[in-house]
Amino acid sequence: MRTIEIPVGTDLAKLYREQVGDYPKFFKMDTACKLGFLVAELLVKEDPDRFVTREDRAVLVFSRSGSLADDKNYAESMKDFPSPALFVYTLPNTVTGEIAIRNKYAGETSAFVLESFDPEQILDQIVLAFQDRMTRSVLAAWIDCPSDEEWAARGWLIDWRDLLPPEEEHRCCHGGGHGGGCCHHHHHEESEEHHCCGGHHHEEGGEHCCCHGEDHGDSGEHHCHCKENK
Amino acid sequence: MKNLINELKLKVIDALNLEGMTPEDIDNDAPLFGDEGLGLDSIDVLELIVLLEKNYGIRLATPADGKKVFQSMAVMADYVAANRTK
Amino acid sequence: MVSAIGCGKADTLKALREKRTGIGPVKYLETSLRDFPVGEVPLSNAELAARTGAPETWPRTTLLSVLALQEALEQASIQSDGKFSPATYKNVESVEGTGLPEASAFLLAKRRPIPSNIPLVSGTTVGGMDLSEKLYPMYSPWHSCGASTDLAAQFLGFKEATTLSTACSSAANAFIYAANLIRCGFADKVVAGGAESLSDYHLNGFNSLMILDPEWCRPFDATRAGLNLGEGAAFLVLETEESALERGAKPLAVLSGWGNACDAFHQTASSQNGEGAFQAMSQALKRAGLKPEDIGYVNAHGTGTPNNDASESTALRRIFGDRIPPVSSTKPYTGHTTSASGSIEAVFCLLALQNGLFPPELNWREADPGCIIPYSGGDVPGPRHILSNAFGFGGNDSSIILSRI
Repeated sequence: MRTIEIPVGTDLAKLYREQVGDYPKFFKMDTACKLGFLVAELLVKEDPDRFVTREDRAVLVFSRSGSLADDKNYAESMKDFPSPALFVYTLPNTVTGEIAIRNKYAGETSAFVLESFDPEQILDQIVLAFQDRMTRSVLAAWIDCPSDEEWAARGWLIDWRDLLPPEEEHRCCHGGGHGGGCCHHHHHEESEEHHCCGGHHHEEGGEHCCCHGEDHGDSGEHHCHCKENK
Repeated sequence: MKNLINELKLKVIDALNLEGMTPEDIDNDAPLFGDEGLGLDSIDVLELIVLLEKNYGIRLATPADGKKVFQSMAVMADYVAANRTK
Repeated sequence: MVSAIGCGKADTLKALREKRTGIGPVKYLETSLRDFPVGEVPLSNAELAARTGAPETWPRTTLLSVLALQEALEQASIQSDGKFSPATYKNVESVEGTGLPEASAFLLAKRRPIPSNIPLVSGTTVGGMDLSEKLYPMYSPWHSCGASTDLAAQFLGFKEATTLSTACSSAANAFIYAANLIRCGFADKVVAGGAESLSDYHLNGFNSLMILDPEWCRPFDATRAGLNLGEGAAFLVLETEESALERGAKPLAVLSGWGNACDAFHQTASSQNGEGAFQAMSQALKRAGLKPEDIGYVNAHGTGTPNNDASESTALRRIFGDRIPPVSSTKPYTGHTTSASGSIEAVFCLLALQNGLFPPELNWREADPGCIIPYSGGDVPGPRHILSNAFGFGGNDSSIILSRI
């Protein structure tokens, strides 16, 4: 798990220029989106294939204030000429939108408004996000921005492996370690070698040679008994 | 007219948050939209429509009209000079 | 449910049969933009309060929610019984520096029996804005989306409520969220849906984006010029088969598939090839274990904007190829009810499943080569499976599939 925080009072334009610099749309964003954008940049900067479209990363943004800072700015503009550029940001999920557009994340995007910073509720939602059998990592952030000058911004990049208890014995491998999480309802990488199956590849959802020809349901535990290589 | 173009450039830079740009950076005849230009998008068209109404009393009916008028700073300035009511 | 075409399912079905629109001039909303047709619920706040027993001073979004919730709970014979066992997380320590609890300990502590409370999941974006915009620069204490849901929840005895706010896909996402709660064993019954009232704030906002039509909207029509805003609320009770059997409840349909994907293109416009929509529909079909030819009817997002209808049509063609089932948008009946649209339109789909009636497209005249041709009436086989789309700003695209039992 990676974590990052942008303290209140940080010069966001300066941070953008130092750490990013190649995305002028940054300056059109409202403060909440700037924070979300920067948190995401700092977390995924070093990712390989960074700008290749992917569906296996969910983006979850949490706050207490939602889009309040921009809501106020738009309301002010309504006094004479309502501003379309300000109206666009009067939704909490524009933060997830900006992150998704920049990074080409085509998976789940959700914005949650909470009573306060509640780590347990946040982790609850992160765990739920992994349940769709497609999500392999979650970019989550608490971006609370009641005004353009005050905020709390922190983010986490969580891989599905971060949720696994350490050293849990794998029944199908009789204690042998393996990669790929083929057990206990966790999905596995397509065509990844399964040590418990004696090295045979199989496609996700397909018949498993290690199970002696029996396939298993999408959400079922593997019945492979690893007795023989097939 | 030179004053008007300069004034427009300053307003455009401000309205569209074109950070770090000065009027000198914007060529009068350069296309405003598309990759070769300033890379403005559909929301920017709408903001420019608001800018024209707010500052010059000109009301454009649709975003399509906007795109025609905002082809370049020179085209925009000509249009404003011809149609301003403020 | 409640919308511009009436209160409750009976009224709604009647309006669909009579092809009667609820769109017309603004009546109750205080706004300067009175020239735009809207799909306003034909009841004042005083009338909503009288019908529901809730205070008239509450946000309109809440009043609409309560009205719809009362109908849903009554039909499902559910009384939120006020017995609540709050989640207890024992010995959960924070992972150093991250601010989040240790994940594995957290998950172990979570293995608890299904609580007896029934959560409410509601999608809204406007919340209490109708009150705040009158008080601005002060805010109504019920301004926030969560607060406007909580009021409805407390009034009806829900002890657990959550609000989703993803603009026009909110209610569809509320169903997906509710389904996940049930699949993960956090609940065996969940009440989910969405609610939205009109406000001067967002009517002006949509106008500043120049996507309102000063005439009655006409989705998929070559001359379409934008959307008409609407308001309303609708809720469904989702539960497991076991729970329904156990208490002798009569389910109306199965939520058999759902999908959510991000278009990742632009905050307010959809991509030309409808990628987000295509992905959401594909996921829904995959989850339901269905092929495109199994879908008997599609309730489109179909807002009437040049952009959405073209993009959605492209996505539909990519999914269905040459064999597109009957498709219609019900927004010419109700207007675009934004956060409530996913649930209001799910109820239309339920009515279609139960009554073999597809809402015919209203106000469509001229084919657009870039768009599908919507269903305008005529005999079609009763559907087994119906697909419903809801696409929100931020590229948040959702699809759900409802199936006959």
